[in-house]
Amino acid sequence: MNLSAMNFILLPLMILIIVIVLRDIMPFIRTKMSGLFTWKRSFICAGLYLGILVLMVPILYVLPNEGFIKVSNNGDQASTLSQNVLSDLYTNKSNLPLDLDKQQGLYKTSTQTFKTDTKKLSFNLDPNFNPPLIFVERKAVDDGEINVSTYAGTQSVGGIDFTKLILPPAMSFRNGTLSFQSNNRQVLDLKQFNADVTVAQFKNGILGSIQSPSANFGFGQVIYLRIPKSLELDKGAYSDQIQMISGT
Amino acid sequence: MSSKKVSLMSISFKQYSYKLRAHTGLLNRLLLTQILALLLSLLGTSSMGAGSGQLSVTVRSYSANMVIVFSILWVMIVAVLLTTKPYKQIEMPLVGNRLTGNLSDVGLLMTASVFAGITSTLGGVLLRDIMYFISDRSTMAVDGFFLTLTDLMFGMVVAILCLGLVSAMGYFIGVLVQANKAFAILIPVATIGALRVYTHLGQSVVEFYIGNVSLLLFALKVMITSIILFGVSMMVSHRMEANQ
Repeated sequence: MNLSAMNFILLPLMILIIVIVLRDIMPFIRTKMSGLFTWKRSFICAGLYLGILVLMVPILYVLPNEGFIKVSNNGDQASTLSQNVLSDLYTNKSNLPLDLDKQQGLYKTSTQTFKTDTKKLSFNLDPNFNPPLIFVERKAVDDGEINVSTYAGTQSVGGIDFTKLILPPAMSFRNGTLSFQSNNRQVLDLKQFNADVTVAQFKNGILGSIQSPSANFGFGQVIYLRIPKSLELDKGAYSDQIQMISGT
Repeated sequence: MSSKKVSLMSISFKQYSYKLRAHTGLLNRLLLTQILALLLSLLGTSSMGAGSGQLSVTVRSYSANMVIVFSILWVMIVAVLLTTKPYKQIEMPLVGNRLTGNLSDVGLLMTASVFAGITSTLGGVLLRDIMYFISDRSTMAVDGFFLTLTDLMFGMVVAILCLGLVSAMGYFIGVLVQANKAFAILIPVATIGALRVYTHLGQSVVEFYIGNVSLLLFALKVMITSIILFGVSMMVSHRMEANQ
């Protein structure tokens, strides 16, 4: 039986049930309830309800404000800054930043270290992965370790900066190949409390209360590698994406 | 013949306290309405979404708007109901006239507005407390979560004033309909017609009350409008009695 046929049967059935409930059951419940709810009991119920609501106020004020997402008042500015930084990194190759940690508009999303005993490093990037910029810096020593850090540009919706919630790319190192796999589609369900309509209209004005918040996101990611001094680099098909910071 | 002199206010107050006890069913319905609105508010009052290839973001907004709107609808219905014959018959066993009946109704509506205004605004606090414990805080924005006491009091005052104004409108409409049943059709037709012809009418009315962003002026406008509406309702009601 298909869905529309089922609806065809269910709809009159539901209407019939609603009619029976409204016509026969509700008056019965009302008669029973009205006997149960004397004016005294009703006042007690109303008093309890008001009391519980009033009690909620001090509870709200003693709740710790930890673990929340901070809302940035200049979220748009931070997003613009991060877009500029990413754009500069892509285009202005001669003026590379050496310390991405201090680069405003970029968030460090993960760090990982891989042991290497091979002489050559090659890459494997997931084709579904938005091409990230990969910066490679040679260390002064041959310590046999590859340090990988991932960064993301500021992402915000309605001022809520959710960059820290973005999952970094999954990475693995096997047989001299560093692989970056895109995560499955990430779904974020963010929550925001707004002022009630009674307060909002006085604070933001009539038009301000109906304006939709802005959304700033792309998926700009930067990967920063620190490799041993003598490790040979095989850029393969990714020569446009991989840039050396120092050394060769 | 009794030599005891009774004042208008004392009779009105007696009727008011009698009605307050007689109409507790309406109070129970407010509690049920607000609890239902609160449960619906837990799903979020509005949401916006954005997405790219690998990421989808939805921002759900939470507020007590639904509780306030449901309370406004409740007070409107109560105001209209109070003018109907079954509710007016409650006054029968008491000594009084049409004016004392109307004054007690106004008192009842003001009490209802104050109670509904306070509880609907505090509903927003309950909503926040519930969300704090049932929801993942790492996906919740801190901004707007912790209401300031000033905002809370401000919200209560504005909600009470709004409910008072709506109750005055509802009472006025109810009295007009009782005076002449044709108003039951004329009022909605005239309202819808006016809104269709003058598309900015609704916005202009709202702007008239809150356009200048001053609570004092808003309160003054609301109180004057409510007094006028209740006054006209009493006059119409008095004439009904004279005609009958």
